[in-house]
Amino acid sequence: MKVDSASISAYLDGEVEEPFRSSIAAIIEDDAAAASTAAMIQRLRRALPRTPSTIVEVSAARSWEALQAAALRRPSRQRIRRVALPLPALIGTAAALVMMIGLTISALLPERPTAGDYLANADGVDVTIRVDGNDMEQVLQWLVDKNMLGEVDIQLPEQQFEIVGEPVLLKPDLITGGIQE
Amino acid sequence: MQSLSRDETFKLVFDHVYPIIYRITHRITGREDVAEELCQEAFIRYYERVETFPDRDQAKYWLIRVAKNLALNSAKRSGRERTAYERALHEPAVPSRSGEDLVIREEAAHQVQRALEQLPPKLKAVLVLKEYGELNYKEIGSILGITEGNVKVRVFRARERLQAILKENGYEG
Repeated sequence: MKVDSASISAYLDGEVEEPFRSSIAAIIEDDAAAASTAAMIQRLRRALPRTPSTIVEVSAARSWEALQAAALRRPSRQRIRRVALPLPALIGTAAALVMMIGLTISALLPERPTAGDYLANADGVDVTIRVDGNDMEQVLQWLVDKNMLGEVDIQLPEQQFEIVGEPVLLKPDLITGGIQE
Repeated sequence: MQSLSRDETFKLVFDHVYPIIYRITHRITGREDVAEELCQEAFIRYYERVETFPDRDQAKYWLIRVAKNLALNSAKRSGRERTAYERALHEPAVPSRSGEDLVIREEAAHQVQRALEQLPPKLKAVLVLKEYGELNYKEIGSILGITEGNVKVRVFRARERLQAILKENGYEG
């Protein structure tokens, strides 16, 4: 039985489990080539230079002091705890906050009376109200329901026209659609 | 169990990991002063993200990866500088210390160190992590982002190549 050199190397590193471990050990004992590979690896491992532990300890102490000094020099921002938040959650939280603030403000503001409120409270007194074009239909419907349509004057806003340039004579056939009789 | 503060965690990791990454960076760069500087750089980077690691093992692997990359980059830079220096003087670089105060064993260790530095980065990294990082094949694989099988093959190739370089240089160990 043969074994590849990489497996002998792994065996010497303690990286081979049983039952292969015993098999490789047996092959190294019996096979001259395998024994030579194993001897070469062990020789090489012994030859590798090792850093004395005293050098490492002295370096560690020096580096610790240097790191302490570096940490003291750094601004306190480094000590702020960072919390990672996914972007969708951040957007959702911001939207909820804006909505809550909006609802709070609208709840605190006094309620604006509608046109219907003015008319209901008028009770025989002349009232002048300004109504937006969009609300007009509602007001008319309310007046019809209350049978009050005859008592209302509707004053449309005055339109101001500005003539720019020379006056032009308009002929009836130039006006698209013409005047319906 | 009471959880540790940020500074306590940092100190624990420092005490455990510093010797490992010092040995790794020292063997890759071949210089004690550079190794110390690179270790400090790695720990400064770690200090800025202590809380981001789920456990101390993850912090250890991250630190080893950072230190290894810093050391390989530094070795590459200094290799370029040394080549330029050698070309300028038309003579090979010599060890910084005089031969008189070196015993034979130290000279042999120096030869092996030089051979180690001549390995291609991929082989050098895997062998240094194995021999100086106190790591098994699985851990080395997760640090380098390769499979255990790949680690096994690379470790052997690194040894084979190291042996060949030493033979070329007339090493008699």
